[in-house]
Amino acid sequence: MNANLFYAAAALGAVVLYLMMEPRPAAFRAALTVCGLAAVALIISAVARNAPVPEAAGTDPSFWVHVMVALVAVAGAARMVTHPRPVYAALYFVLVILAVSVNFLLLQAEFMAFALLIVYAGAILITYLFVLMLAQQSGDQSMRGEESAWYDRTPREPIAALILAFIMLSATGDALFRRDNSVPWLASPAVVARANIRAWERMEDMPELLLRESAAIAETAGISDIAKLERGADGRLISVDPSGTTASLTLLSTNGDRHPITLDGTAAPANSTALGHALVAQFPVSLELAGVILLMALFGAVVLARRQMAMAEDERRAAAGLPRIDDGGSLSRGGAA
Amino acid sequence: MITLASMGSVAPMTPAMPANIQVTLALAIILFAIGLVGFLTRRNMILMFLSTELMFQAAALAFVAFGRMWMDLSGQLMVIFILTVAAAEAALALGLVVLLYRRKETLSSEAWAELKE
Amino acid sequence: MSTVAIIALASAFVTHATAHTPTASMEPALLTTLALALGDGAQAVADGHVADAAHAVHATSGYADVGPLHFVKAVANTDFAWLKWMLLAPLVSVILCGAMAMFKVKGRLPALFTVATFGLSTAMAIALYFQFGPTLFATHAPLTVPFMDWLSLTWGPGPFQSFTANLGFYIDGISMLWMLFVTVLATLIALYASEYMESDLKAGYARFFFAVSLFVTSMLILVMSDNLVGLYLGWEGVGLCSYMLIGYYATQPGATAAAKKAFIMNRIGDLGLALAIFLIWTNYGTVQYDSLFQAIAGSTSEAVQGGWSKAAIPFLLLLAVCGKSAQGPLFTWLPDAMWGPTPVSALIHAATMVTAGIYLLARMAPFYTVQAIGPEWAETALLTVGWIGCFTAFIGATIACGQFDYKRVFAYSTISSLGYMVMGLGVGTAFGGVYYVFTHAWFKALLFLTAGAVMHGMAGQVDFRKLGGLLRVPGFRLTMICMLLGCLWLATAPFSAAAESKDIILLTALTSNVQQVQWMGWIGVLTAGITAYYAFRVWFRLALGPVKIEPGADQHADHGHDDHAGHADHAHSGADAHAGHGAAHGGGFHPHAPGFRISLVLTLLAIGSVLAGLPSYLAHSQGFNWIQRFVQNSSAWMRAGNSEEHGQILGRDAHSTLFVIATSVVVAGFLLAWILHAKNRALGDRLRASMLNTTGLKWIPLGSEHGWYVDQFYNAIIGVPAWLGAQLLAFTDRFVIDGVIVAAIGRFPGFVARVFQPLYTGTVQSYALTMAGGIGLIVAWVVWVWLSGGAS
Repeated sequence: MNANLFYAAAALGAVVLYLMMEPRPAAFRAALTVCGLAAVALIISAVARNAPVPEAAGTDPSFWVHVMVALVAVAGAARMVTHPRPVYAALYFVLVILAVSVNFLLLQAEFMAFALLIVYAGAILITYLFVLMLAQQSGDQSMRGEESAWYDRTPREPIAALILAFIMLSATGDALFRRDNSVPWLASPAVVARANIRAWERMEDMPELLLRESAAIAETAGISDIAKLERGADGRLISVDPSGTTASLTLLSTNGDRHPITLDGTAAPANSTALGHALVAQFPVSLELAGVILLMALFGAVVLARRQMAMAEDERRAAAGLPRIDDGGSLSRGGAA
Repeated sequence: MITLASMGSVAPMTPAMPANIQVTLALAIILFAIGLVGFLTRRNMILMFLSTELMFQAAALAFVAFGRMWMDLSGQLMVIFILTVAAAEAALALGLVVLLYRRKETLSSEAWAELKE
Repeated sequence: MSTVAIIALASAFVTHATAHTPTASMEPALLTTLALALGDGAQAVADGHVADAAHAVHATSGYADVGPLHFVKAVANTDFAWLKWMLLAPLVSVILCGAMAMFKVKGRLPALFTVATFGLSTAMAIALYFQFGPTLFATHAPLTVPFMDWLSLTWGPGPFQSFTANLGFYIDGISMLWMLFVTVLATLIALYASEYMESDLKAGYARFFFAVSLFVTSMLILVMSDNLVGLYLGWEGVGLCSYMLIGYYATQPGATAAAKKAFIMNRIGDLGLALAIFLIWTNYGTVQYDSLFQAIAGSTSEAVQGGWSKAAIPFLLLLAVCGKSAQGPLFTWLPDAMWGPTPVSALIHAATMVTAGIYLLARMAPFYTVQAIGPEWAETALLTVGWIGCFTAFIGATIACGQFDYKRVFAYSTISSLGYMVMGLGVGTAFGGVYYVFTHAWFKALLFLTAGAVMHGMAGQVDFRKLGGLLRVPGFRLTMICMLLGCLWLATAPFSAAAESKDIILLTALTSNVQQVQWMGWIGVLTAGITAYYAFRVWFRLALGPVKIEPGADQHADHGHDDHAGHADHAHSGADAHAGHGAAHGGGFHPHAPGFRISLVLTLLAIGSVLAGLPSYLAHSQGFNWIQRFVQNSSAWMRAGNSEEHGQILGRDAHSTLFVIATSVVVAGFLLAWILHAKNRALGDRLRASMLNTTGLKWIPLGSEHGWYVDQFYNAIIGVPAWLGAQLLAFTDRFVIDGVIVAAIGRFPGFVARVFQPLYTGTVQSYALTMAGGIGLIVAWVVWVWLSGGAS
């Protein structure tokens, strides 16, 4: 039932997208907007109604934020691929980036949300805009007085593309409606405990941070002469309780007093800290490779952007740092080498 | 014994609501489909690349959503790498587009059909 | 028949003639020579002869059935290990000459190496004769000398479960005889060639001597090997050298064509030899001569009734002989082999290589007995050998009568002589055949070398109609006298060495109790007359009459004198040379008289030719024939061949009758040649012209000149069908395979491409659409089919 609703809504969305591809009167555009948003809303409702609801959960207010964000993102994306003027398309893409960032925030990926904003909206998109404006400014012959070029106004094989996209959407969306237990839409207690224990163990790798934070907590309890952390019998600084909710450790004062402390989730490392740790601890090679890829892209961009110039023999020699050929012609090609 | 009594007993990470995850995934696949449509229908080379960026966003969204579902940071790490590749791709692709534009004074991808026999 | 008339004519003026008397007066002088030749070997004669007589008793008992066979088992003796140097010495020359040819060393060194190493081999052959000869003649036991392991396989304990063909030597009478004359003649001819080939000093000198050395090595392997596989190795080796030397003037298309022809014809024969060796191994389980002969001697005629695989052996061997010795259907390669340098013609295509077939027949003679193949096939096999030889002798002689190229005359005479030898083996006298091989080797080498000397001097002129009176040209007297001797010997003049040996064959044939063999004998007699005619036809034309020299301008392919700076200028000096061919010195052309080395070799060969008759002249005073003793101590000695006790010919005493008949025939041929080619050449030319104008007789001169059109016949029955088949296959290839199958396969992808070409628009998005469509289908399949639990 929900799946059929999903397919119908997807088809509706495809039709709307098709109609959006040509410039339309304002009223028509409004109707299309409504229909498109309705299609997205239908999809979301089909998916949400299908989602398993844990008994103790109640209504999560963030769900509606998710829905809003999704509507904004889809609207921006749809407009981006259909807008006849490239600059506007790029700006709509910024809207999509913003929505996705909010979604990241909702998914507790704070670092990625801001990184996305900075890198995409701030850097990449600006580059795109630059290039777009560079191209448009020079007066494209194909514009012929219109406000956009013909190739920006005329979609290419829209029916085939939409059918294909519908198939992709249906096929991938169908995975959301599967009712087998292999996908733990709601994390099981074991998964939660393991994730939390891993979060605490990250602290183990960051003893300075751990000491600083524990000392701060101890200071609220009036203990200020903290010297260091005591290592447990198993060689570890902290011991996590089996559920992963809390962790305990022991502080040593300068006078040798021992102060046991229990930490809860608020003391665990924040998203950016944990992400940085994971990046270095889990994916060091990939990190290096990413650096190499960026370097190569830099080189590639330099090579591509260089203007090809026809240089005479003397100029080439000069560019290569070789002496110029004197008028007597005593130096033949390669004679200076 | 010192405890952080003020906050109560909160775990470092809490499981996400399935509905939220599923809505995010639905958004991801919709964005991907729209990006695909954009890549196939736009004739402007710059917008074609922009559509691929949209598909990148969809993939990043799915990664983060699944990472949230599994309560694992690897999903977000993948997004970092996607970002890297996207940046590199944008740099090179735009460089190429500029070069091609210099040759034919148009951004239409159909101006470049020499691969045809 | 005309033969009868000639015989009657001859009988009228030949008053006294027997085969026995002529030696009586010469005996003291000849005995001295014989003592030199035989040395200590003569002492062993008495014992040997008694045993030989015992053999001879068996020999009279039948044509193909010679009674129980007995072969004395070979004795291995490593004291003769030095024999390997006989092989290795020419091999050293092969390597040195090959290296010099490779590095293009100019100079006379190759000839020096070749002559020196051949001389070394000759010395060793003579030493072997003196060291081992007495033992052989006393004990009749062949000598085996192991040399090195080659093929030695064993895959079980049983009799047919091992295969041994090592490089080893088997020395008995015939191999020793062959070793002697091959090495001696090779040395002399190499010496001759060292002068003859000097015109090629810059180009192929080293290559020539490389091939000649390799030839001698191969020939020695052929005759010395103790097994059939070794013989085959040498057999193929001499064939290869023959090919290389016929095609020596490789820039001339005719030479390469002749080389290919010789090689292919020989391959046909070689196939026979290979198959015969396979069959011999299948039947006897060994290819070693010694054990092979013992196995044949051990079998009885009843045991080999039927059995095609045994009966085929002698016929396959005969095929091999036909190829190598230019017999029967395969003889056409030998005349064309004259494209090679003349020393090669003398050494390989007259004296030695072509006699390898005779050697094979003599060596494998046990296979032509009832013990080996049974009575029903043995006589057929022998008669086939005889008829092939007889037929070839006659055909070769008739063709030789029609040739104008004196070198080709000698080539056809070689074919004819080889036919005599094969016929000798076929009519049952291995002794006669082998003796004729020996005498023929000398005088035929002499004839070719004189022919070469004339060609050498006359700038390559090979047409005897354009030469004449050479006996009076300074410098050529010795050559022409030597040629006269050679022609006399070729014509089997009475008392000549050739006559002594050929008469043994004819005598055996004519006195046979088998009717067919007698016919062969009469045809042989007739052929002797024809031989006398064509031999003197050449000599009279060349030597007598007015001096007449038309230089060949070195353009004849037989003679590659293009680089001969010494007199090429004269030869090419144009009209002067032709204007003055009435007198040798009148025009610009100066005949190039043979030098010291050629003259020396000619003289030595002439002496050798004369002395080749000694064994026969001395047979009665000595009590044995020197050659016969070789044959008697070999595998060839099993049947009649001792010409002592013969029946009658035409009701009269065999010896005297044959002498009268043969002499009459030869003299008749000689006189005919004298009339037509010396006394009244105009008559000869008119006779030929009138024959050519008479419809009924036209075929005789034309057919003779064109070798009875055998080449054309082969071309018609093999060449033309092969050409037609090739055209058919080419047509099939071009239009059916290329046109239909290949084009269909080749154009199918193109067709498919044209169907799908609209998809290839060249724009990025169309490819992206295709790619995304594929991915979409895969995802759809994964989600809707695979994840749904397959098709269920």
